[in-house]
Amino acid sequence: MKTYQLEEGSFEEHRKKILKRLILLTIIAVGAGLMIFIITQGFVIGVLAVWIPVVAVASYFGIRRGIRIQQEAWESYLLKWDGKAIVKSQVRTRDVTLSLLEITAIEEIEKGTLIKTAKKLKFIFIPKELEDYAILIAELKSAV
Amino acid sequence: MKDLQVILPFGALILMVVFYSTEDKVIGLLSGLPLLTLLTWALVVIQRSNIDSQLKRISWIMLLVMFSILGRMVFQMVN
Repeated sequence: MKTYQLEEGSFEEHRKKILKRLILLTIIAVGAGLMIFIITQGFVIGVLAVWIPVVAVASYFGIRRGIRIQQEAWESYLLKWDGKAIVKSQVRTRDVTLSLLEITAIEEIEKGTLIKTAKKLKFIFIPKELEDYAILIAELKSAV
Repeated sequence: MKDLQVILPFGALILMVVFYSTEDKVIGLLSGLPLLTLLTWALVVIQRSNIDSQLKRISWIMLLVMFSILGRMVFQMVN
């Protein structure tokens, strides 16, 4: 059984994308909240003066926590392949085991490859940053 | 599928702005019901998916938002 890990330091590039997405989502969500407040209560400067710093601090810690969770998940990603089945392990998730018979499609997407089964929620995503990514995908394609 | 990933969160956000800023019963109901359905569906999908257990746990906070919507809808209907 061969074990594959993600390339060392590959999370750094990933972190920038996550950070951009989280900041954008936070701005949209806070903007919507602010809009609801102003529509219903009017522009009450006293409340906003308290509300804005509280939301800013909460957003900062929320984003930091979100990135830490993603980093732990990224760095713990492990793939095992023995020619008959592929197993994905990751921190705080159940191991996903797909036998060759279960695999219905191997779909290459922008960020990597999806190994699909007949069950919509049962799949394995293989990021492009995996060691020997191209070799593994070629092996999987020829085996299925 | 990718379009849905963009449309659904923005749709939910618009519905939420409409729902919380209206005093009209009918508009409240028409925006509240799809919002409740969307949030329930999202919670079910998150809980059924094999994602980080910490994120699954955090997602239960959505119940708070759902109860708030339900409460406001009932309040609007009664008054």
